[in-house]
Amino acid sequence: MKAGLGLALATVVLCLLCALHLAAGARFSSPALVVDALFNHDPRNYQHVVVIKQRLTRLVVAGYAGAVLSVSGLLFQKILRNDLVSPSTLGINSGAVAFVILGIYIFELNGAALFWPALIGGVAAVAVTFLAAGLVSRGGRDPLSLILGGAMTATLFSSATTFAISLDPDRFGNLMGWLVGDIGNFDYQPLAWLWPVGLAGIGLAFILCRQIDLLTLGTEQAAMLGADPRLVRAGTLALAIPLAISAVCVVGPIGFVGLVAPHITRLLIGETGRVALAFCALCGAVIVITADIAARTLLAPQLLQVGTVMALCGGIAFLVIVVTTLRRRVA
Amino acid sequence: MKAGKEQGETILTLEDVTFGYGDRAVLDAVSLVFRPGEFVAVVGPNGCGKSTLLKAMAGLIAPGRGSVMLAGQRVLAFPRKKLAQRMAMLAQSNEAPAGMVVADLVGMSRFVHEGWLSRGTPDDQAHIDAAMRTMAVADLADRRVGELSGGQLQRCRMAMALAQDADILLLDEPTNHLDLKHQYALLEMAREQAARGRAVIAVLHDLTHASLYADRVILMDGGRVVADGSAADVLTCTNIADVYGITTVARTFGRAIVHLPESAGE
Amino acid sequence: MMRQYLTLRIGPAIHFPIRLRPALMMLALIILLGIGTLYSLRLGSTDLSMSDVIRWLMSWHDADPETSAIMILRWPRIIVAILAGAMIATSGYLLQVVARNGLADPGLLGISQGGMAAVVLGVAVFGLSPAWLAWAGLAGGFATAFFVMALAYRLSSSTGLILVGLAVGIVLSAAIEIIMVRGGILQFARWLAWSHGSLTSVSVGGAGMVAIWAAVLLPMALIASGQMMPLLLGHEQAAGIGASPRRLSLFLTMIAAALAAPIVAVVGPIAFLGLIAGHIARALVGERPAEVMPVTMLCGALILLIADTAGRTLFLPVIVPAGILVSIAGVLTFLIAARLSPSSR
Repeated sequence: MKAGLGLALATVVLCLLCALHLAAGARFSSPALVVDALFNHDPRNYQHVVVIKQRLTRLVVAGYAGAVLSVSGLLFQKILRNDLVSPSTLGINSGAVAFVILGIYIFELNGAALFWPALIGGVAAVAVTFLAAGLVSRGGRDPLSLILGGAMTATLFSSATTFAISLDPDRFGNLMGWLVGDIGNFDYQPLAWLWPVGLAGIGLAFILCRQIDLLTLGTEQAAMLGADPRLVRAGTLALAIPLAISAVCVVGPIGFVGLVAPHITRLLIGETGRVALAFCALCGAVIVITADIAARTLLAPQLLQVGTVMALCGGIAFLVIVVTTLRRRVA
Repeated sequence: MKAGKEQGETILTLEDVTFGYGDRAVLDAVSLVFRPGEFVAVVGPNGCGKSTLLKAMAGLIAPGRGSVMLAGQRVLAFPRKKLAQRMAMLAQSNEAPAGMVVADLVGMSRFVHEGWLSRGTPDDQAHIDAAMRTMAVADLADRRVGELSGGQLQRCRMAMALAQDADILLLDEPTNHLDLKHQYALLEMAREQAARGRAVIAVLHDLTHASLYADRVILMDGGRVVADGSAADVLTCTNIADVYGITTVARTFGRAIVHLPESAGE
Repeated sequence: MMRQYLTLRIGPAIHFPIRLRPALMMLALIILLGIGTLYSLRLGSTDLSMSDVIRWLMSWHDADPETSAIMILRWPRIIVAILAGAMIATSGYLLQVVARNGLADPGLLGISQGGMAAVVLGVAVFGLSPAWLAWAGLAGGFATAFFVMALAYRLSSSTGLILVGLAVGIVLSAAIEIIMVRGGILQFARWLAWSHGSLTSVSVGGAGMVAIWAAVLLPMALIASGQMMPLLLGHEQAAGIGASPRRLSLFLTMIAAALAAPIVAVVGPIAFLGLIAGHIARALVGERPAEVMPVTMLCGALILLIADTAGRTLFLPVIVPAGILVSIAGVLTFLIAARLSPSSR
C-alpha cells in the first residue's frame, strides 16, 4: 500500500470509529443526538451529558493511550531492532504500576503527581530488563533474551505490587480497575496534566524520525551514515519511556497496543519514515478505541476492562506474530 | 570533489595505531598514508586485523595508542555527521530490517546531506538514482529488504555507500555474496571511483582481485603491516609463504597474479 | 577437571559408577534441607525451642498438646513446600531438556497458566470441589502443553517454543484476569496472591494429595533422567546414536505437565523456580541429566522451603506469599548466578 493512501485510510477509519464510539454504549444514541450533543450541548439533557462526559472523555483517553503507546512501541522496536519488544513486553507497565502503588502507599500521592513514581518505575524496569537480558544472552543478540528479561522484570515488579496490595487491600479498592488497565470516568483528570508529555514526545519523535530510522541499520552502519548511535539511542529511550508512562498513568497497564500497532504498520506501509510514525499512532488509537467499544458493549450492561480485552486480543496477536515471524525466519 | 588530485597530497593518515582486546593486540603500531585517487587493497589471513583497521579508520573504535588523521584532524574528534560527509563504509555485517523498502534503505545514505528542513532535494534524488543504476539495483527499488537475495542486498548496501557521496570509500569484503559477474562489476566500479579522485580502501580476500584492480596492496599479518606497495612487489611467493604459511607458485595473466598451491603446479 | 569415581558393583549384572562431586553435592543439599526443615518447624508467629521440635519429631504421638497444635499447622505446609519445590524444579528441568533451552520453565511455557485457567474456571464457573481441582489443573496443563508443542512443532528453533509458550501464557493470564476482577478488591487481592503462588491455605488433605503425586512422578523423572543424555544433542543427532527423541520428548513433556498441575491447584504457579533451580543445579554439577535431576529437585525444594519460611516469619504480622519471595529472591539470585558463572550455560 502507498504510504499516503494508508494514512488517509487510517484517518477515515479513526473518524468512523470515533463516531461509533460516541453512539454506542449500554444504550445506543442516534447519530443526530450525538451531533446535537457535540455542537448544541444542553447540560440539562441527560443523554447529552452521557455522550460528552462519559463517552467523549473515554474516547479521548482511549485515543491518547493508543497513540502514545504505539508510538512508544515503534520507537522501542526500532532502536532495539527487535520486533517483539513493546512497553509491556519490556516490563515498563509492571514497573510503573509497582512504583505507583508504592507512591500511593508510602507517600499518599494521587492524580498527575503519580507520573513521577511511574516514570521512575518505568526507567527502573527498563534497566532491570536490559541487565537481565544481557546476563541471559551473554552478549549475544538473541531477540528472545530481551523478552525473557522483560518477563522476569514483569514478574519481579508485579510480585512487589501484589505484596503491597496484600498489605492493605481496602486502600486500593478503587484502583482495581486501573490495576488491570481500564478507562473509567474519573480517568481524564491525570490526562489534563499529562497530555503535553504525549504531544511533546510524539512531536520529538517526528523530528528525530530520520536518525531513529538510521539506527535500524545497526550501530556501526548508523555511525557511518552520520548519526551518533549512543546519543540517538539514549534520546529515543528518553522519549519512549515517558510516552508509555504517560499512558499508563491514565489508563493503567494496557498491554500490546505498543506491540501490535507497529506490526500492522510494518505490514501495511513499511516502517520507515514519518508517515509510518503517524500511521502507527493512528493505528494504535484505532485499536484501543475498538477495544473500548468492545469492552463496553460485548457483555452490556456489564463493563469489561479495556486492559483485559486488550490483553486477550493482544496476546493472541502476539502469538500470531511470534508464529509467523519464526516461520519466516525458518523459511 | 573537494580533494585535490595532485600526487603526494594525503587524505587519511594512520600514525602508530595500536588497538587490542584485553592483552591481545589486534593492530600493532600500524602507520599508513592514503591519497585521493588511489584504490588500495588490504589483504591478509583471517584475523590479521584487516576489518579492525577499517573500523579504526572509520572512527568506530578508539585506538589505544596512535591516531587516525583525516585532513589534518583526528577522526575521533569529528562529529559523526561531519565525518560521514567525508567517509562512507560498506561494513561486513548485513543488518537491515526485513520490512524496509530498498528505496528507503538507499535513501538513508543521504542523511548526511540533509538539514532539519531540507531533504529529498533533486540533488539527493540524483545521487540515489545514479548509485542505484551503477549497482544495477534500480529495478529493486520497491522491493523489501527481506525479499532480496544476499547478493542483491550487498549491491543495495554498496549503492548506499556510493550515494553518500564521500571522498573516502571503505569497503569491507565488498565482493561477499556476489556472483562472478557482479564481483567484477563491483571491482570495476571501485576502480572508477578511485579514478574520479576518491580514495577507495577495500579489504579483499581474493589476491587475484587485489592484483588485478588495486593500485596498491597492503599485506597484513598479526596486526602489523608486512608489505605495502604495488601488487607485483607485495604479492610475492616469499611474502605469501611468510604470511599465509603455504608454499605457492605464482602465475601472471597481464596484471593479474594468481597464487596456486605448489602441488597444482606440477 | 578431576573426575573421581566410586563404583557400585554387585555381581555381574550391576555396575554403577557414581561420581563423587555430585554425590557430595547431593549429600550437602540433603543436610541443608534437613536443617532448613527443622528451622522452619521451629519458626513462626510462635517460636518454639529446638528441643521442643526434636521431642515432637521423636515422639510423634505423645508430645505435649500445645506443640502438637502448632505443628499440625506447620508440617503440612513444610511438606508441601519441599515437595512442590522439587516438583516444579523437576518440571522446569525436564522442559529445559526437551526444549533444548536452559530458559524453559512451566511458568514460561504457559503450562502453569493453563492449569491455573482450568482451576479458576473450575472454581468460579463450575464450583468444583478442591479434590477435583488438581485434575482440572492437570487437564488444563496437558492441553496447554500440547497446544504449545503443536504450535511450535514446525518452528524448529528452540527459541520458538518459549516465545509461543510466553504468548499462550499471556492469553491465558488475560482470561484468568477477566474472571478475577469479577469479585471485589478483597477477592481480587486473594486471587492476586494465589496467582503468584502461596502456601498459606495448605491443609493436611492438600499435603496428602501432593505427596501422592510426588511419590509417583518424582521417581519416574529420576528414572527417565538416565535416558535423557542423547536429547541434549538435538533430535537428529540423538536419533543418530540410537535414541528415539520424539517419543521421549513427548513422554517427558507429559511428566513435566503432570508435575506442575497439582502444584498449581494447591499452591498456585511459582514462576521462575524451575528456571532458577535448573540453572543452579547445572552450575553445581555440570550437564549430565542423571546427576542434574536429583540436584535440581533438592535445590527447588530448598529454595521454596526457605522462601516460604522467610515469607511467614520475616515480615510478621504480614505473611508474604512464598511465590512472591521466590520470584523476587529467585530472579535476583538467578541474575547474580548468571553473572558469576560466565562459562556454564
